[in-house]
Amino acid sequence: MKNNDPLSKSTVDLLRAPLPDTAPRPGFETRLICNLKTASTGNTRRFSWLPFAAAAVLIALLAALPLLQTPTPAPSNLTTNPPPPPVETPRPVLELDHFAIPLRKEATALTDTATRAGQFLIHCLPSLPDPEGTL
Amino acid sequence: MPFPDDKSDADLARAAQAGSREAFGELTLRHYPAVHAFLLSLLANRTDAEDLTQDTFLRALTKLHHFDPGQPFRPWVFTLARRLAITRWRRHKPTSTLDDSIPHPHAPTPQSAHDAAALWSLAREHLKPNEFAALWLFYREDLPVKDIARVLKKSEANAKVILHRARTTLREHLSPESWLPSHRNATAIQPTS
Repeated sequence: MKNNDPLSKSTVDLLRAPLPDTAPRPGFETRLICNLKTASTGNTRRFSWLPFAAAAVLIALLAALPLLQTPTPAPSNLTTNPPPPPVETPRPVLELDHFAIPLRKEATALTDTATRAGQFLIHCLPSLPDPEGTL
Repeated sequence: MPFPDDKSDADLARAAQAGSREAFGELTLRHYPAVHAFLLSLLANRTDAEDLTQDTFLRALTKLHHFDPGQPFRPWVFTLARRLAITRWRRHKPTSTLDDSIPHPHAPTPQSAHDAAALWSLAREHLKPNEFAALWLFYREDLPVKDIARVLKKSEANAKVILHRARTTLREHLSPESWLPSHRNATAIQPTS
């Protein structure tokens, strides 16, 4: 390859000639070695997260253990009750001054909403099969 | 010195991989001057070159578990240096000549050294980073094309093409009247005391 060099011999000699003052400044070598001594290696830095990750996984497993041990019913035995028509509870007759208090009015509305949502969830959620077959 | 000179780079690298900081220190002492000279020529800034030399060996230390001791150490460390230098090069390409940025020693320097510095400045100005690195590794480090290809992360054939292109480009820009300090107006490149 050197024989096919498109550069002349004098140019090649010049490319190989020593350059003026390419040595680093005094004290650089000491600084470099000191920094290398205090630096951490790749292996320790690479796996430094491992103990934290293992601890997090362990905590998650311990937290999930009671849930994993709870027996769940077989899906084939699940029955779903059809939602009954919403039961409208008769609202007590409120006096006129009752509506004058905004917070009380709000509390009444929230109570009604919660009652309706609770009834809906009770009737819609799957229930365990009735051992006596009354349903 | 805990490691004698007859210990090969491969032995030192194995010892360093086993956790010996002394072995890695010895490897650093062997190779940092070449890495520094390469970075200094590429970046034309002494502070940048020293910073990147340090970064190169710190990175070598953290990546040492990736190094195959069966391979030569110097091309591997040049690979790390080149990557860091190219990142810095892209941020701000150096335009000044070596003589502008580097204070010259008080001892008289042969004219050929100034001419060589000017020639490398010309190369830095006109070549792409890959081409400059290939040229430097071939002529200054005497690395075989196979190792140059490893540094450049190219195939051997591709490295030959890059090297050939670098030489051709350099030859096209060679005009002694325009770049040699001994042939041109001396004020631009004469050493500053």
